[in-house]
Amino acid sequence: MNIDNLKSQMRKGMLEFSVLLLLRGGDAYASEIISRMKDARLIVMEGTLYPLLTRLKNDGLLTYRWEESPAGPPRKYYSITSLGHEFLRQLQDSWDEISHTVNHLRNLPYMPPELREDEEPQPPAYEE
Amino acid sequence: MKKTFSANINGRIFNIDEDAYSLLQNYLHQLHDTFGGDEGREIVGDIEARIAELFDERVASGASVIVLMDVNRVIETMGRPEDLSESSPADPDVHTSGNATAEEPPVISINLPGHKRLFRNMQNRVLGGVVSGLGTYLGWEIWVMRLALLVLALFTYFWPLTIVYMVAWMVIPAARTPRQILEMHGEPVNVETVGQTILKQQPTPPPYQGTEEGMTARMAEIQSRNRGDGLSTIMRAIANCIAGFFGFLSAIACLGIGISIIALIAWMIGLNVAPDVIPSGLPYESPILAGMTALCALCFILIPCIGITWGAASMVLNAPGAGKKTVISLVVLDMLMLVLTIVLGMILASMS
Repeated sequence: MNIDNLKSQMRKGMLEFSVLLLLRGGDAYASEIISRMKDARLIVMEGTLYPLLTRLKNDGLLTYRWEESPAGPPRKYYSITSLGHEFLRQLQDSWDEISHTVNHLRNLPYMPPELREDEEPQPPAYEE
Repeated sequence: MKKTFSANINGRIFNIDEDAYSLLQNYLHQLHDTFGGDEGREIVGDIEARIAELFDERVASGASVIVLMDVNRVIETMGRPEDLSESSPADPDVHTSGNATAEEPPVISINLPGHKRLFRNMQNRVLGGVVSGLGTYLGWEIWVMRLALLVLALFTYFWPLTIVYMVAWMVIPAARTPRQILEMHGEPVNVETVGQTILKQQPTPPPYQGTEEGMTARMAEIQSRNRGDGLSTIMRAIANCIAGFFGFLSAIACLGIGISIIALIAWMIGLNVAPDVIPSGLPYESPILAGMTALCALCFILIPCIGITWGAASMVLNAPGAGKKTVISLVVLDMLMLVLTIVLGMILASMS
């Protein structure tokens, strides 16, 4: 079991969700999305974002328009479509379910490893 | 001192060092390879726009020229192509089934050292680089490969291998970009190796202020290129002389055969396919058919003669030789003539 791989899978799974959530707060162009993601401490390689945006756009969840920028060439401003809003709502429901499940599991009665004498030593418990 | 280019990235002009330019260009090529199709073009366009922004920030902070380090930093920020290829839209599996990707190591195909792909070797070629590409792929010495195929060609009466060669020439892609060259040699493709390939490809190496290791490697490479062992030089000269002699002889022979065939054809046409031309034993009831057969057979011999003479002439006169398409169409035409000769000959035989 590769922990890094698993972590990156988890992160990757929520990337679309995160981008949709970010854009819900207002239209943005790619660099803005990146800086907002950094503010949210969601660190991804920038290069992964562009294929994602293009895919979301081609699936009809996002749309974009060209807007003049104060300096330099026009920028591509992305915004969510109504289909995207619907998609986001479903993702939120599903996220709530997952989060409920995980919270429920984490709140189950927990026995610290030092109390289990009959078993093999366990790896350290998860940090709260 | 370094040469700089001005590059237009997403409508902005940047001054960029030669080596930085090569690296960036190569990076973008790799991205193009990673993201295919229309969608890929759009993605790479977006990434270019972002790179322009990042360079803009550099310029705004006082840099007057984009250097290698800036490009490297951009690549670190954007991600290496092999890191991005996982989330490529080209394989939707990655996103739909998490299990499949979790079990496979990321980047299977390109990054495995020793994983070679068959390309035509454009750096070391005689015609299309098929043989040297095959040699590189199989790990044979290229001259051994060439000799073996030449012997094989002689024993199989030349034509079958020629056709195979032509098909291979059309089917096998040429190794042109640094990435393809690395894949051809089975070396891992990443930004460092690609950078090295870029430097190797340049005819005049730029004064590269890289690491000390890189400098030593480069010096050794340049020295080995210049030295060219005395023995191998002599051998090469002798081989060239022999090849030249035989080439010259065969070109003269082909020219002779070609001229006589053309004369023969002209004579046949002039005589309006006279029965005299038709070899004895063939039916005289269909002189036109027999004449056509003879014509096709003559053309079948004539076409390679013209080709070889042309090739020799272009070499002697230092003129551009026949292109790939011309050679292929000549071969196809020649095959057509052979088929026609056989078919007509069979019809003639069945009539008698």
